[in-house]
Amino acid sequence: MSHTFVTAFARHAADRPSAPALIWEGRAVGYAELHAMARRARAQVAAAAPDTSRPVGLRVRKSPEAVALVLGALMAGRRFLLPSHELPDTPAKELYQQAGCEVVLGLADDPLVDRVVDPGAVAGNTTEPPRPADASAAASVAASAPAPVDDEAIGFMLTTSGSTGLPKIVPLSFGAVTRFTAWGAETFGITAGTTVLNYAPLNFDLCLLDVWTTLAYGGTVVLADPDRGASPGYLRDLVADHRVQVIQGVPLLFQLLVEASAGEGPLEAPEHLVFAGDSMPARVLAGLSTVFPRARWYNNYGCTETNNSFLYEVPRDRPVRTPLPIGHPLPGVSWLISGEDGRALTGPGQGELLVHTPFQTSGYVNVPSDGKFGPHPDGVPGLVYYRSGDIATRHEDGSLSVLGRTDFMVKVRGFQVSTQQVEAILLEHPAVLEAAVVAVPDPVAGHRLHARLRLVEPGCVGVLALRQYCAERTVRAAIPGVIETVAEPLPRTSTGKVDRNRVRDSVLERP
Amino acid sequence: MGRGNIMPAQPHAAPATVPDISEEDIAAFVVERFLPGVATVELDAEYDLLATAVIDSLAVLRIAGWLADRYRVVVPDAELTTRNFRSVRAIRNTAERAVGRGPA
Repeated sequence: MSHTFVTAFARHAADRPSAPALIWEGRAVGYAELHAMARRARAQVAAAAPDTSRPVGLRVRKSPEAVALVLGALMAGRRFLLPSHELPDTPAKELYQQAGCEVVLGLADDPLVDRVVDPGAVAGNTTEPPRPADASAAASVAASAPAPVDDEAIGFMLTTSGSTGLPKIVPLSFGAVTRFTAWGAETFGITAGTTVLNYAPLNFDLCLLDVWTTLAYGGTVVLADPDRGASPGYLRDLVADHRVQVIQGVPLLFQLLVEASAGEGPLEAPEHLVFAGDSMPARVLAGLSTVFPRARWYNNYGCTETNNSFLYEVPRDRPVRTPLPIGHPLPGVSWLISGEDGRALTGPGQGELLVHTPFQTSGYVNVPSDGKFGPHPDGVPGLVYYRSGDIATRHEDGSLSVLGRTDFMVKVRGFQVSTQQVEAILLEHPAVLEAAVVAVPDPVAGHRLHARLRLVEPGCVGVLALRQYCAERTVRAAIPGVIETVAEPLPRTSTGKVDRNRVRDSVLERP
Repeated sequence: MGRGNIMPAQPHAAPATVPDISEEDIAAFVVERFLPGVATVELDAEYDLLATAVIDSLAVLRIAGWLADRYRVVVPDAELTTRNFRSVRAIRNTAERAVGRGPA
């Protein structure tokens, strides 16, 4: 019962102590070194939070020490809340309280941090283990096996991105994460020696693949510094210099890599590109072939609550329709589309996607789960389904695509319109680099749409031509009332998605 | 757009003599009212204002109000269809029909 992804990591530290586990700022951190830091962190967690019945709060920025602190909590068999370090103090404090955290640990002084810990420092006057030389590494590792845990015991407590209000706390069991890492490693060929880029911040669910799967299977994680996440040259250098084989990220990451590669040679090492978090614009896809001549492309569909649930391998050699299909359910995944009458669709049609995965959470910690998790009258009996909040279309040929979030569905003159779908249409125009479509209340129409676009070059396409382009592709209600073009980049969230809330606020603030 | 649509057309100073109905004039009004940021010269007389959602039925009433102000042309109720206001040219034709000198 205790053979988890954590024990798998520890085994690599014993078997291949000098193999690189992490790359950070050009420096490699070996498995034994990371394991030693994790052991120190484990002791620091135990000392700071002796009540094992309560979770530990972590407030960390990405770094090898932060990875070690998470590993230390996992090795101690503890539950821990890992919210975004960018969350402002007030909501962050409330989240730690809602989770029942005994103490909040951090690597640096911060108003919310109760105890600053340093897994990297070897204290001279304690019984902590010294940094092991390779020869003694195996013995040190063996002497500090991770605490045994039940399959259902909670480790990670992640948070939803929370477009409005306080994020929801999503607890994940050791078993769920272990099953997920097994799927990820097999699907993307992650094994000893595989190099994987980690672009997302450490609190993000995407890290379950690029950080935690990689460490469980003996690969090397190249940690991208989120502070430099918008720098095309930095990102390309990470991929090129460390011969990264697996790249997972939001479309922005791939857009930046394509941008940085203009005039440079192709990147030959990447084997798998995994698109996540947002729908992939056709224009970005079109640029990938020359930059990544050897890579296979995947559209990954999932969310924090269920983790990955569908995967679509994007054909490289023929045109694809966007939004990309979500493809096939992963092994062990059950799904259905709930039609307007609440019954499962059996043929083509549209409705909310419900999924059950082997990796899913048991429910939220801080808000009721009733509305989002439950059995479905037409689903597999006994399974708990998660209501994804995504509107999915089942096409004539049986394939599935996701139209957008139910949250992004608005009524314009009586028509259901997805602002995400309108964005996707605009992004297909070759002159459009970035797009945000937001709905603002309108006394007559219900809502009206406002599009803010950044063009490839200012003035390279007119508003009239863009309206025409939309008219050829969608219903009239979905054509934005105002199409505005701007010269500066659109605001982005910390995870690299276009920050539609900020765009909407700025539209609403205007007289 | 939006709330502005339901306001009556801005009254123009009543011209001493009624000007000829011109496409340029109509285009200038449509752009000013419904296409912020677009230059009048960009708007082709045949550009489909309806398909591209520049105008809707409320906009038709607005344009008709402006035609009355500007040209003293009253478009009959039966003619107040979006199809008749589909483009700058269609608006001119509709206005000219209303004064009985354009194409039937």
